[in-house]
Amino acid sequence: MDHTQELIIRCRSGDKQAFGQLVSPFIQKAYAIAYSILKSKESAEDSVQNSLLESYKNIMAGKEFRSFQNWFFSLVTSRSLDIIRRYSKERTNTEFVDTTDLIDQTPQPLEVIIEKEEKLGLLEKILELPDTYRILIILYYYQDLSIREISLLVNLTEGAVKTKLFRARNKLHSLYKSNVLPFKKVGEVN
Amino acid sequence: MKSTKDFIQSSLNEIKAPDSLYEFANNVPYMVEIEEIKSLSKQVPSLNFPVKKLTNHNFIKLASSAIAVLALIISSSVLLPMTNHNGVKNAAINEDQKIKKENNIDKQNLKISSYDFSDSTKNSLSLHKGTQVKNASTFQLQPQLTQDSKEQRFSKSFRDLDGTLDNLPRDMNFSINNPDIKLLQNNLYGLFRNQVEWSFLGPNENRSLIAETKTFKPNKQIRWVNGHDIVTIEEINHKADHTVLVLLQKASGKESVSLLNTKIALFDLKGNMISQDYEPPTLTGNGRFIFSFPEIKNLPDRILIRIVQTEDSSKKAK
Repeated sequence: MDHTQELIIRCRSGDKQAFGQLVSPFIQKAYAIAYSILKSKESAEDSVQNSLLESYKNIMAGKEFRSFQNWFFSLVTSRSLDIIRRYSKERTNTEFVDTTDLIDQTPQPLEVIIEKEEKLGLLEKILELPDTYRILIILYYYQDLSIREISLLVNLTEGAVKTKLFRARNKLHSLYKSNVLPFKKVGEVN
Repeated sequence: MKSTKDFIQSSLNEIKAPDSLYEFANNVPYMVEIEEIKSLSKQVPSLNFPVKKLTNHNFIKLASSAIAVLALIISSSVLLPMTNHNGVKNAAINEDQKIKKENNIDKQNLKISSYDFSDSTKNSLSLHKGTQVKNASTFQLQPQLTQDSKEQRFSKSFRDLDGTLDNLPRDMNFSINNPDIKLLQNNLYGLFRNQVEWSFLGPNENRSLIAETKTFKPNKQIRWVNGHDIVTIEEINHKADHTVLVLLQKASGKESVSLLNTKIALFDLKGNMISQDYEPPTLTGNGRFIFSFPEIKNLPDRILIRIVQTEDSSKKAK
């Protein structure tokens, strides 16, 4: 029995510490997924909090997980997409994105700083992408979902996902004019 | 050579999750438990048990139980001294009345929600049968709570917290036939909280600061996080019936927002709202603003103070 399964069983047997231990390793990525989809710290926190509550309820209801980690990330993605759909009409794209607030500010060697700035630059460009493109980039490259899985999540055909993903990459490339991003990967779509 | 995936993954991994999420995760089992207890306690009075068909078998069971209960009542009334009866009965009646009153309060509280309002112009409010609905014709900037012979009149200007003018009823006057001023205030507080809780997801959400309530020292310079304003906490006065927060706005730049046009909410560090101000702040001079909050039973050692910008009340008052 793996550690995750063991923690799930402990949750069900009433061990209240077990849930925190179970989800803590996934919170970082879950928040990154939610934030990069929603571009709002508060909304991202909402999304992750709701997903945490929902996942605990599912565990206690006896749901069986093939991979809890993947299921949890999918849940966060779905809840984030729900929020973005709900607010897409109301929300203008003018929300201030302060990425400097997201990173660790402790002093570091120059090489590390340069590397971080590169990452941050790319992150800013990803966050600048229109909603659809940004979401597809995150689902494909960060969550490592297949085209089929993405098509089910975003209610698009697989062909449409491929086309939009191709455009999203081009858009990101034009935003991030640098040799850092190769924009080619063996077996990558179009 | 790194692939696109590697670059994107490493850049997104730079996003740091707030500590509050880890704390939240640890508290999830307790929160769900409390939620379940609450929903159970709401369900209990209105449980609809399935109606059993009165078959012969059931009828015999029912009749025999009734006879047993009746026998028990007769035997206890014979055995118990008669002198105790009045006392017991009176106590029971008093207890009944008390319970009835508390239930009514619960009902009133339950009925208060955003759905009770129609819109910003009609200002209808349906709390309970005794509520009188009135239409507002004049704008009231400050809430007024006055009491005449029978009814209390409460006027409140709702401020447009998200700037869309769509989501909040703004100016509203209503009268509530309610003799209990504290209950009324609590009810209204519940109402405001329902109305504006989500509005703290506004664009100025990042104007926040953390205050130490237990070790609070006056004049300690704490600035808004990410805010343009220089605002310090002057005083936190936690009293039994309400809490007062005095803020000092030292300088206001081009981008700053006057504290007069703000609404403040207090959160615990897990992000749960503790309270929010129930009226516009009072400016006392020297840039000091007093924000009042309804009763807070447990003020945590550390609180998060968040501000949202409201409409410019001076413009609205015209």
